[in-house]
Amino acid sequence: MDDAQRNALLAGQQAGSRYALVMPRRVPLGLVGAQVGRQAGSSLDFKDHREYQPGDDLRRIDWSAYARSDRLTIKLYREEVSPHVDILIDGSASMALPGSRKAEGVIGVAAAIAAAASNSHYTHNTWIARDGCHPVMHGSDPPALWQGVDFTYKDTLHSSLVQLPPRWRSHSIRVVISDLLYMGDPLATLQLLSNNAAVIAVVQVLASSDTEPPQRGSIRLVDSETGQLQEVFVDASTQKRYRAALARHQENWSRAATQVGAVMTTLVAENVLDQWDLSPLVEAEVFQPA
Amino acid sequence: MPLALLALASLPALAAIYWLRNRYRRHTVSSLMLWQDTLQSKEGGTRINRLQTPLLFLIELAVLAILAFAATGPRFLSATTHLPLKVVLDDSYSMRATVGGAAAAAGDVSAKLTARDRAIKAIDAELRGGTYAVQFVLAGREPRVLGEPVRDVAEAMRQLDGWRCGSSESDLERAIAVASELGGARSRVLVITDRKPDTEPKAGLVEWRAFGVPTANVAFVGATRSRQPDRQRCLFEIANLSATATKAELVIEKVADGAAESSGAGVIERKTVELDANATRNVFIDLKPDAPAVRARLTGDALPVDNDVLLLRPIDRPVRVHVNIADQALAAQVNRALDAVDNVTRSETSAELLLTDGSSIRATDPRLWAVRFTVEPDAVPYLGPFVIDYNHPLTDGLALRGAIWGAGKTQDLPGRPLVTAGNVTLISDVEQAEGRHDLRIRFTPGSSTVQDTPNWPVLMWNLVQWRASHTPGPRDANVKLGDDAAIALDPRTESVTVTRPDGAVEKMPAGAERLLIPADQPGVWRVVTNKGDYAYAVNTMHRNESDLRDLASGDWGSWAESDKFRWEYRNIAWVLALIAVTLLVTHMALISRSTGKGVTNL
Repeated sequence: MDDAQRNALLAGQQAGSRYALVMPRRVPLGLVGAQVGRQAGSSLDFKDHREYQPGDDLRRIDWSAYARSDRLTIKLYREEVSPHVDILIDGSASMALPGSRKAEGVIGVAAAIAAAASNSHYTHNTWIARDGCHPVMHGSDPPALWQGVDFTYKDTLHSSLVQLPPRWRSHSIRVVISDLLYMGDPLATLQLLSNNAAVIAVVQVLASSDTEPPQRGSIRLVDSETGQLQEVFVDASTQKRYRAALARHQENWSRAATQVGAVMTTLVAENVLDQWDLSPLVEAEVFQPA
Repeated sequence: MPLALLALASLPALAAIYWLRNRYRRHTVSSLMLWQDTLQSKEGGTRINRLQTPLLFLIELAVLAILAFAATGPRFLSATTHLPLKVVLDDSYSMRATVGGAAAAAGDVSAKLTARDRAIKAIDAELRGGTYAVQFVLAGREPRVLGEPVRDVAEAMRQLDGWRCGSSESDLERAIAVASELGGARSRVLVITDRKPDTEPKAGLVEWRAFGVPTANVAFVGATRSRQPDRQRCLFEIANLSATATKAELVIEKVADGAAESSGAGVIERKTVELDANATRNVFIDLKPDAPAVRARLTGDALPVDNDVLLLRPIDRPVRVHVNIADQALAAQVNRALDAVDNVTRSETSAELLLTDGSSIRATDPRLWAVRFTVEPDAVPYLGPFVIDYNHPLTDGLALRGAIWGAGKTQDLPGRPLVTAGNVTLISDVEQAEGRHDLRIRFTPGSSTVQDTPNWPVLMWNLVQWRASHTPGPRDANVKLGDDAAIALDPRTESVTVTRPDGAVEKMPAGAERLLIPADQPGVWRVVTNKGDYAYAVNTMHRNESDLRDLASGDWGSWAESDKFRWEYRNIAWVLALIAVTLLVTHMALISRSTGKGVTNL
């Protein structure tokens, strides 16, 4: 990380400290945070009894009940779910789009989420999606200690997930930070993310130049990841067509996110970095003021 | 107009604008994915897009060019009648020069074209480009009209066959004056030459077009053949008319008298003449007294006509003289003076010149001229003042101041007085109807000192030469191009036919005692009369005309500048403006249509 990214990391951490991570209403599994989970677990809180079934932990047999009824009964306790957030940062080259502050925005938002998770007493781990998903050095620590976040990968987030999935913690809250600007079925990607996840939040971070096409004129487009060139004459019609394509793409992702129970929101890096306005995350019920 | 042409600078400016506008800016994007729709649309509309951008550009370019052209005030010839056009043709022989040099030696056809050839093409183009009644005026030593005005181009081009470019000089100023006089105030004058004008034609009446190409040249600039008692001598002056030294191959050969071409067998001398830059060398050769004509040739170059000289034998024209003077003292003086004249032969029976102091003269022979001396006993010496008619060939060189002329007081002489002492006529000339001259001379040697002065042999020499000049035949065997060949005719001549070197035959009027034929073509000329056949050679020996270094090409002057011709032109700026407006409307329509269709690349 360069100095600008490091500064964004710290600023994001500071901004995120004003928020707490919110467990979405659609959390399907277990307890989040200090609440009990839906399944029987190893907490001290008693939930119920049931007959012993082969394979049950013998340590959980209620011998007193056996004495009273001569039936092996298993004492069920409520499961205590340890809330955890896995933050996956898209490490593709497009995330550090030249001429934009996109990389700073991505790092800042990731730091803010980590900071908000800490405010909610959630543990967190941070992953970077490159040639496979790798943990960020000191990614479980406060963001200020993170090391090794870079954006050099020349392929898509989906291929990285396929190549080497993160070792997610089971039932963790998974937050994916990416620009999502690649061809492919969003649902396929999200299904990889949703496997054994408590909840998924998709945070799309774009540069302002991603949201707004270039001004009128002849443009030689350069793909930041592949280096592929394409010449196009930009005018109002072209700009309109570009915006429509972006909206359609976002709609596809949003629809896919809905299908897997994920929430999705979009941030513009430059806007975030100017005032650290994270209200879109609040509106998406990912954050709430601490 | 030149300022208006500055508007053409807008053309590259427009091209620059298009170039800058169409120049691709580099723009890095996260992914080309979002541009796929645009790119696919572009590919689908490639035909339209690629056509329309240059089309609009071309339209704009055309509009700017048309407007710039319109700003120059273009006009076109609107006259429906045939406009009078006088074409002044440089008739000097430098117009026959080719480009020469290595290009011609290599077989380049264009390099072998003469200035005349190039000019004829230009004239043809000019005549076909307009509606003219054209008349040609040859500018040689004297202006000469080539024919009547013609409207048909083919007929006009046929008239140009008479443009031979054989003159030793071209008096263009006089020819232009003649052309202007012929054409009047509304006539255009087109000057065709190979040199640039001394001053550029003004007022738009004259267009000057030159078709010359500066070229080095080696030429004969002089040649003479003289007769001496025991031989004949030829002198050839060869000039290197260039700034570099050169060598020329000189061949001198015999030519049978009367033959236009040499047989090739009689080479007298062949030598290489080395010539420094701008140098002239003289080459002499001696010939036997009876040697025939000789031809000298130089190596071929850009102007062949001055590489060839033909020298005929000098004309030997003796005068048969009979002296029949009774006064011994006078006879002695006359005979002594006549003996000093080389072309005098004595003949009593067939004399052409009779000098006598008697009164009986055979007047039947028109060839016999008589000089009658009157010796008067009462002569008195005249000291002057002597009045001399120097317009007469007999008085050429006479200077009687200080001499004493003895003559009577009272006798008057008939005819034209040639020399008088006060009001007393001393010599008179009576020209008879048949062309014969009778001279009367009042001269008493005893009272005179004239016979002791140079005036006496001068008078006798003049007398003989004057008579000799009336001997039928050419005055000179070798004539310089541009001079007049003087042919003395027998008084009884009834027909004269002149054959030019190119074979053209011309009937000349008989009856005159002397015929002056302009020597406007090099070569052997022949004059045939019922009293004799004669020949003389004409050679091009004009340094100025052979000097091709000052030749030039270009156009000077324009008829369009003349107010006199303005009415013949119609300004078409408004037409161009209309076209420009139409193109602009088309331009806007294309833009609006394309925008409506959502075509991106306009």
